[in-house]
Amino acid sequence: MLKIILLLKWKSLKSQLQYPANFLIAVAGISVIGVTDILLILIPTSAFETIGGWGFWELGFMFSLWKMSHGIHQALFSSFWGHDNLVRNGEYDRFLVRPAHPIWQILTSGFSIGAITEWLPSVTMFIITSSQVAIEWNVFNILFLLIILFSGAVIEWAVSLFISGFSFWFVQTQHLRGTAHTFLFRAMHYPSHIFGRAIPFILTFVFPYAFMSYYPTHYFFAIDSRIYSDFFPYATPLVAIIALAIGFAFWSIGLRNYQSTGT
Amino acid sequence: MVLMARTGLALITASLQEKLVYRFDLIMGLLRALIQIFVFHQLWAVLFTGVDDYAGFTLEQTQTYVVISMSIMPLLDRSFLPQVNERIRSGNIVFDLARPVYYGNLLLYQGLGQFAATLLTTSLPLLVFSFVFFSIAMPDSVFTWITFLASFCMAYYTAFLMDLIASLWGFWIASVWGLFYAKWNLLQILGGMYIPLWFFPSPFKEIVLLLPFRGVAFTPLSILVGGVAPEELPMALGLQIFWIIMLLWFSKFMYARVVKKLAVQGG
Repeated sequence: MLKIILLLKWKSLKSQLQYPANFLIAVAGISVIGVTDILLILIPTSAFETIGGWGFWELGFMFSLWKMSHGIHQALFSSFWGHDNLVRNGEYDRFLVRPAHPIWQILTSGFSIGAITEWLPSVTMFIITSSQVAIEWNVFNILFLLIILFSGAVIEWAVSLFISGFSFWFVQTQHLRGTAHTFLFRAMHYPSHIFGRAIPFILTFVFPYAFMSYYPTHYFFAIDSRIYSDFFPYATPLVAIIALAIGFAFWSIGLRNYQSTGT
Repeated sequence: MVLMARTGLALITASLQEKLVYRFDLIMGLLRALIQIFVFHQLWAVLFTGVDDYAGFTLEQTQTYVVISMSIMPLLDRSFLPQVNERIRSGNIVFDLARPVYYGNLLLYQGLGQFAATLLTTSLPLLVFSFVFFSIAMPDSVFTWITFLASFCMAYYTAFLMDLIASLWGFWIASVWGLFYAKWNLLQILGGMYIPLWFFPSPFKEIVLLLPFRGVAFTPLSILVGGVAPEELPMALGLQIFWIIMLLWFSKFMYARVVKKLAVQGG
């Protein structure tokens, strides 16, 4: 199955590579986001040294974990961002008469260049920052890192899938998605514990994005979690499974409710 | 003149109606902005713990700055890029260019309609909410308010011109998403929408202060929170005017190239 996904993604990528200059401009343009991300961390820490007890390198390491996971999400799962259109344009009429499950059909459609524009900056960030923070790397650590990165991508997808479920009733869900994305793109640069009570609660139990980078970072730094349970730094894979189960269940209920818009 | 005012009013009403059709989206949009306001309000509160001021700027000034910045951000970071690109790809752009109104002005009128609608449905509610729930200090001098409004009008026009130039690039580049994101991000970070430019480390700060981006958010906002001394005011406003002239010239230059390019292709 994975082989088919990768093959289809490669074909989509190739179709975009037909116009190489365009492709490069898009990659360069979207990579500017990476620069913004670094500045959002660098400027406050250059003025005040630490944010919630963590300096530039620690925060950079935490953020690179998030961005790498996000890069995996962009490569494999980001087609669900356009879910509204699939419902509105009646694409589901086509999905439902084909033998393959609609999830596979959506996942295999299109290639987001986000995969490249997230990976180039984030892996660079990870390599540089991980040499500046005190982490003893061993086989177990590295294995855990790989599991964390994939689980993080699944967590992001699970939320996306859950929100996609709403579009079977409301057709327009872009602002609901936008709300989740505000947490995803604007609160991940800083440690969750600085945000009082409401935001850490949301990032842990509603949109569990804190498990993508904030909690796992505690594991790598071998420190106790400041909020909630000391078990949370290890919980990322478990959270990914639970979140995906909930997201998939809700989306399936929505699908059963699907009525073609007739377009 | 009456005709123009009537056209303007019609455009504003249309934008307003469009917004009110999707009430749920509107409310979620407000919620989204509030989350953002809360995140950055809290960030500075944490950073300023045990610190009285940074380079002369207090926590209250910084928080006022970010709260207002994020309330007015929807007015300034709107982009015509996807819309213009759609019309270029479909070829309908030729009808826009053939109109008696200069294309840039056509977009400007549309933009002003959206501006009024966004102001009424998004920015004002956010500002009212922020006044009630966050500690922000507004200036009491009339002079500050007048200079802020003048600077803000120029900020809007600077943002519009940058967007126009980016949109015109769509005639040469088929996929504009890179351009869209690059412009949006540069505006937000170098314009000082998220972090006031006074926190930027030297010499990076000095360079950024010369760029046109600061005119989009930082100049009016720092005037509002009292971050610009009276003797620095002519320089700050002058730089905004300078960049508007440069951007205006460049947009006209690009527009001339677009018209020429279309003529060569013959449609």
